[in-house]
Amino acid sequence: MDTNEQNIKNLVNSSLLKADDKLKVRIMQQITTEEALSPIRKKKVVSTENVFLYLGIFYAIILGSIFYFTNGLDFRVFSSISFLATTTSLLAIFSLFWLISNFDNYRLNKRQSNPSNKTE
Amino acid sequence: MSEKQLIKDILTGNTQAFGSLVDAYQDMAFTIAYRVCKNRLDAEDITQNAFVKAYKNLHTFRFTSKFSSWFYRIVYNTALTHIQQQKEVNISTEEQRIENYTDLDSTDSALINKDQHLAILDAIHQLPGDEATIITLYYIEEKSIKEIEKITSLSLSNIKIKLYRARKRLAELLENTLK
Repeated sequence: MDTNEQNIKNLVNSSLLKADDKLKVRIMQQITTEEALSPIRKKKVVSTENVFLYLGIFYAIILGSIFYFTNGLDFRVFSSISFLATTTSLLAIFSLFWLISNFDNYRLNKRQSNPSNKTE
Repeated sequence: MSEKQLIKDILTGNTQAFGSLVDAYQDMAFTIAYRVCKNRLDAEDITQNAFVKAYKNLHTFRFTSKFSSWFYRIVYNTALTHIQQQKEVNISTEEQRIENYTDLDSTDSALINKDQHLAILDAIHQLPGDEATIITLYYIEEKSIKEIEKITSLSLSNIKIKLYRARKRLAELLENTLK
């Protein structure tokens, strides 16, 4: 390395700038804040509340139907086509409600676990 | 504690250990950022953003290269992105430049007098951002051309040309100081 090159090296070496003393505090504060604000991925808890609610209403209506259709039919409800048709349609309707409700819960959980997906 | 151990410590969740990396690299990161954007406040913001990015992406560091090279690449890219965003509001004037110099502290300024110090800062300031960064990495950090290639993503031949130009320009600008 010639003298001129050495001189340039020495001069450039002396030009290393010193960061502000508060910069480290700013950096660490930002990191700590972002850590605290980042969403914590919670373990998914499947809510059984809705299941029992819908099944409860479903069975209550079926029981009510049984009593309704057994009047005058000597309790032979399963031989009644109208009873079976009503039960099947009720089953289909409540299953559909249950499906919609679960899908809605799934969407809600997904949005809560990832707030950045929110559309303003 | 070795740097590798320190990084592993941070990855296990010890956020405060990152402070040691900040201590070790903040001056050089600030210098690189300043060389590119030529503004003290912006350089501080760039340095801060680069450290936060490094922290968030530390899990992607593979220990196959030096941490310093990996980190300086983040600083350099953050600075480039920043100046692209600021291009339209560039208010750098001669007056502000001199004011900036007097505000800046150098880690090694005690070894040379104030006039020399300002002359060096002014000379480096007159270089284009990429040349100023290359010369800083080459002389202060003693990075090889290969390592500078990784940091700046410029080709080897391009770095050699820019280094040659920067040296020549510095020699011209510092002619009196070098005598």
